[in-house]
Amino acid sequence: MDFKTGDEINSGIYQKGGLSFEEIYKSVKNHPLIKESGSILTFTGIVRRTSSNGEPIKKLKIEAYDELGNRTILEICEDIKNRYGLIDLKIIHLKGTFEISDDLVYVIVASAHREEGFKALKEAVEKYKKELPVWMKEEFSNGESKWV
Amino acid sequence: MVVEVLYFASIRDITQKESEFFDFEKKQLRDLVQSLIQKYESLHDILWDEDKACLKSNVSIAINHKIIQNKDLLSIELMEGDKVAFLLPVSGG
Repeated sequence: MDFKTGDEINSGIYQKGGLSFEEIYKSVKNHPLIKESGSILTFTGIVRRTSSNGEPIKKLKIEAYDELGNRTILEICEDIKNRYGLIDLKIIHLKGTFEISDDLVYVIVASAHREEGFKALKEAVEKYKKELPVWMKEEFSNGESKWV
Repeated sequence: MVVEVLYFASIRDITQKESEFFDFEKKQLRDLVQSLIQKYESLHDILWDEDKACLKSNVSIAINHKIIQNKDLLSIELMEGDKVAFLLPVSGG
């Protein structure tokens, strides 16, 4: 996905390397209503070195259903933004092949006050993890791999 | 009738394709599932609940990029050119 129009970056699923955290943060800071914000909260999901059952992994592959995923992300953002009265909310999920500690997901919330920002951030993270059509494949040093 | 089936994750590993056109005679989703399992036997255990004779409860269906919320998924009537995806539980980063 390449939804960059000027300085604005839309929430969505992007190929790894297509966007940096700095660009997304800058896009939020350039929001026309940013002067109404008192806080910007960020969450970055990164690749942990062990699988869910503790096995050391070598790489991680993320595959996505882009058409459904991009629509789902926008729906999640609109819903949470409206309910919490946020200035801005962006969810960027990356796809591709990742090394340990690579960034996988960015969630950025700009709100008038931190209280609603923290709640909205938590809800956005829980929702994308539950609803986004994205699948993770763990690859191990012995050459084996598994979808989780 | 021809529909396009989109494959993701472990289902894609089995089919070795991102998508594929299926030409089949009847119109219901159950007929597509039958054709799919006939072509890729390994999909049987992933998609089909033998005891209940229906799709496994952890399989979701998207048609034309929208998740279908319907208790009787197998009776859904497909249309020419529909894009159908069988989705397994997600695991975002």
